[in-house]
Amino acid sequence: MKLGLPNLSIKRKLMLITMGVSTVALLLFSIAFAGYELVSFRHSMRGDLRGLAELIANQSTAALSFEDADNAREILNALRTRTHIVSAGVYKGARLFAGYSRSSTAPENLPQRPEPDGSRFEPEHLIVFHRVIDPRSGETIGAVYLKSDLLEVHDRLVRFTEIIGLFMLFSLPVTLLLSFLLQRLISRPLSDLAATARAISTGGNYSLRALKHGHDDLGQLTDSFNDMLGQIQAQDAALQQAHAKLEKRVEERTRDLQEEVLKRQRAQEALQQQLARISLLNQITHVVSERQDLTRILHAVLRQLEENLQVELGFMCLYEPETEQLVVSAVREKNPKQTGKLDLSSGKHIPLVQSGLAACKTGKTVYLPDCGQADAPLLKRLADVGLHCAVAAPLTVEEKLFGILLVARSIHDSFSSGECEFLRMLSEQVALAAHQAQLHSQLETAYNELRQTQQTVMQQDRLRALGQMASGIAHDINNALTPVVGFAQMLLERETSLSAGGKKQLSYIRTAGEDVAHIVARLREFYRRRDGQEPLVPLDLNKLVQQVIEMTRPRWRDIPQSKGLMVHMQTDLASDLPQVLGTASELREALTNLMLNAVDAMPEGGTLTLRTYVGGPRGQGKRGATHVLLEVVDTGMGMDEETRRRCLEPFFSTKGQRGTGMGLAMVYGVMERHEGRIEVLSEPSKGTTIRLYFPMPAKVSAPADEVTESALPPPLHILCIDDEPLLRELMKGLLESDGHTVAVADSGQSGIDAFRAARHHRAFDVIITDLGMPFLDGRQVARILKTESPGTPVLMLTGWGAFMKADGDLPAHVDGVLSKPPRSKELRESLARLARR
Amino acid sequence: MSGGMKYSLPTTSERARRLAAWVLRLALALLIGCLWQAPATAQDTAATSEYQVEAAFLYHFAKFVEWPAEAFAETNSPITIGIVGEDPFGDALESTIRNKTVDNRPFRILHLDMKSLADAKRCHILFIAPSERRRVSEILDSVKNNSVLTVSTRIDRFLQAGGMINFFIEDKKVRFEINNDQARRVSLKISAKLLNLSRHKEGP
Repeated sequence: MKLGLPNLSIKRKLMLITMGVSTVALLLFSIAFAGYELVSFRHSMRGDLRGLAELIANQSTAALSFEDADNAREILNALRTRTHIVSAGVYKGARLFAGYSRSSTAPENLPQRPEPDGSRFEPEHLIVFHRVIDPRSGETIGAVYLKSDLLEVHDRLVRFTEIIGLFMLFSLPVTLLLSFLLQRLISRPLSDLAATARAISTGGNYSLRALKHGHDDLGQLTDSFNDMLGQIQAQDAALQQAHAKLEKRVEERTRDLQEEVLKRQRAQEALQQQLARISLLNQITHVVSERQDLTRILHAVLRQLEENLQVELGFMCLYEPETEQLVVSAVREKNPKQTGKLDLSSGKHIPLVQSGLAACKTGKTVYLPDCGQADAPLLKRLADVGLHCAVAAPLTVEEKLFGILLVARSIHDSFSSGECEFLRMLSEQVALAAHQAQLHSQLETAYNELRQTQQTVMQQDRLRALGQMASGIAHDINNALTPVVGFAQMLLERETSLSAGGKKQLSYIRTAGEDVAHIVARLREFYRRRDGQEPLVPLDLNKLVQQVIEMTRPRWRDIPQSKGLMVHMQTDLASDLPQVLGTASELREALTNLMLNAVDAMPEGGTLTLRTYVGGPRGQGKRGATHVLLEVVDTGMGMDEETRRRCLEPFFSTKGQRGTGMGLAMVYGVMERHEGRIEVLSEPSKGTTIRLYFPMPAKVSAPADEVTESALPPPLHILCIDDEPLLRELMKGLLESDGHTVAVADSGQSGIDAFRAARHHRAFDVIITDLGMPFLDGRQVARILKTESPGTPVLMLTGWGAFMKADGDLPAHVDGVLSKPPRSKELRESLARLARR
Repeated sequence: MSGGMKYSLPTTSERARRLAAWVLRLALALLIGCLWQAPATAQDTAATSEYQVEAAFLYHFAKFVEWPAEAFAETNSPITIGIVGEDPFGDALESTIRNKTVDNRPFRILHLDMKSLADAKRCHILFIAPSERRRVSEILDSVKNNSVLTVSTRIDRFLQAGGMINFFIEDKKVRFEINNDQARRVSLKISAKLLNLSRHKEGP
């Protein structure tokens, strides 16, 4: 146990406090008194010493004035009676004049210079300086210094201490006795109170009360303590009661909580179900998002429903708003034997009204707890096959009915509201996916069209480049051919001395030359713009067929022949075929394509038949004929159904690397532009028939009558301008043999000069000029001549002639164009026409 | 170093020693010069300083002597110091009393000779210079009935002749002897403190 101040008994504490307080008070008082005494004593001591200094100062004025140090010393020596003076001195000015020291054996050191007036205590001494002032002159003539010891002060201090000590010694026992007697007044009631409190805390008996000793503060404390005990007693009882109440309430609350826990468990289960459905929805969405094809999407959804939602029948219908019918698109049956009687095959049409699902049109999900109750035949049939409960959810896109999803189970009212909600959400997702799929296929189509267009443009570019090159070649060849053909002609016509064999061979040369010219002319067919702006003109399909046969001859005859194969070309052309409106070049190209396809379809050889006739959409015959038909028939490998269906699609090709997939697509495009139609009939290994339908034109203008007879024109005066000497020679020869008079010029300028010169005596009747000449070409010559003499006809002779005529773009100021090589027949006809005007 | 070289340049310490020798010689010459001049000057200086002290004492006497009231015309009339004969003080007395007062009275110096001796009566302190030692009786006689403090220096038997204070030199210090009887006769009160300082001059 610690014996600290806090652990002392209250009795001891009280005594200690009394003793301590009185002793400290006494001590403090004594010290204060002693301090005051000391201070006042020192004060008086200082005064005494000052007085003494003044006395000495007064006495030493004369000694100082007359510098009598002996006299001054005498005065100071009088201090010997004052034993407390340790040393003294008199100063004249700042100089020590006379000194005194109490001890003769150990003389004190005096300050060498006086200090200002005043006194100060040092630890052991009191020091005083005092000025010496002459009373009559008022002069300061020196100073006095006194140094006193403090032995008297110390003596006093010791005496005080002794007195205080003695006083304390006597007062302590008295205080002790008094405090012992008085403390009992307080400690007795307190110890009683403490004993009572201890008894209560150990026994817990709140009915005990403390004994009261008097009516002082402690008495009040005892009363308050007793009162407090009474209150505690009352509160204790109240607490017991409250405790019992609380226990009861806790019991009730526990019961409530248990109920709530049960509720929450149920809610959690519901939530888990919901979660499962959401994950299923997610799964289905995922499955759907992997597919782009509508039918496959629908099938995937139905399979997921059957597996995860225990649906016995599920089917999807697409809605056709025009006919207000549902088209069955996908069916899933868990038990086909049972539900097979429903006859729900893909593609079956059900009117929306009869389905009993018209509410779906407004976007509502229809729940049928008992299908047997419904009037609609579809629902009745469901009930008949044992599916009594069904849910139909609309598939809507942009608030329009797009289709219906229907699921059914055999047990009545077996779809929970959660499942219905799930189906509704699912239908939204499926609708969205289906819509996406549709958009996707549309996008694909658009993309394909775009690619086709691109291809076409590319091909046109290529063909144009080729065509330009070809026409250049053609021009040069024609120029080169002109003398060959022309001179051969002249020989045949004029030379009578030729043998029959020679004539025959000469005629071969001419024909071959003309053939070359024809071949070259056909090259231009490449060089045709197909911008769709070309006007449709009346055409003879038969003629077109002949041309194409000619043009494609290398492909159907020459190349197969080189491989030892034979393609028989047959034509079956209606003799009185009406003309159709069209663009020759396009139709020629389309027909070329068809023929080449046909040849390709007969790798072993066969028969290719081209047929034209008049007929209706469903048959042959002139009566009621609405169309002109053109058939390309081969005996090749044919096509299966799939290929036949898709062969018109762009980029669809069975030829692998060789084909572009554009051929038939192009033909289709051409037919579209001609307001016609294409029909493909084919069977594998039985050949293919492509049938083109052209609409019968309402009224076909008869072709313009051409000059048939090659009447010889009257003799004319002709100017022939050409930079090639060989040609000038030929023309001169040809024309002169017909009886004309001919002048020649070797350039545009010399031709104009000759024309101007001839105007005054014998003007030229006709002028024939070459087109391509250096410096001044045929067009410019024609323009100048026409301005000078508009009435004079100008014929143009050119290697481009064939193209110009075919394109119909005659140069200005020119009355006719003759192509090289000029044939005498053509030349004659032209001259005859011009001469007639 | 020891064997190789016979001649060498003076070292630093050697040079310092030479310099010190020169300084010493110079100081010695100056000292001798001073001592040559000293004796005559010292004698003069001693006499001059004694007169200076005596001049100061003349002033101090005024502080320890009380004149009767009728000696002054007014309460602030100056104290007149008369000097008979050759003034030995020079400027000393003049500079001592300048701006000094005793009992609020300033000082005034009056030079007298035998012709103007009649004015001696108006003085309060009369200093008889040693030059007048033969005419002492005559001078003292002229003021014997007036309250004039007669002071002299270096005049033998001055007090016996009826003078009041006479300076003399003792142990190289200026001392004085006082004839208080003579002073009391003309109503001059000499302070006890001053009287305490009076010496008796021994011998002639």
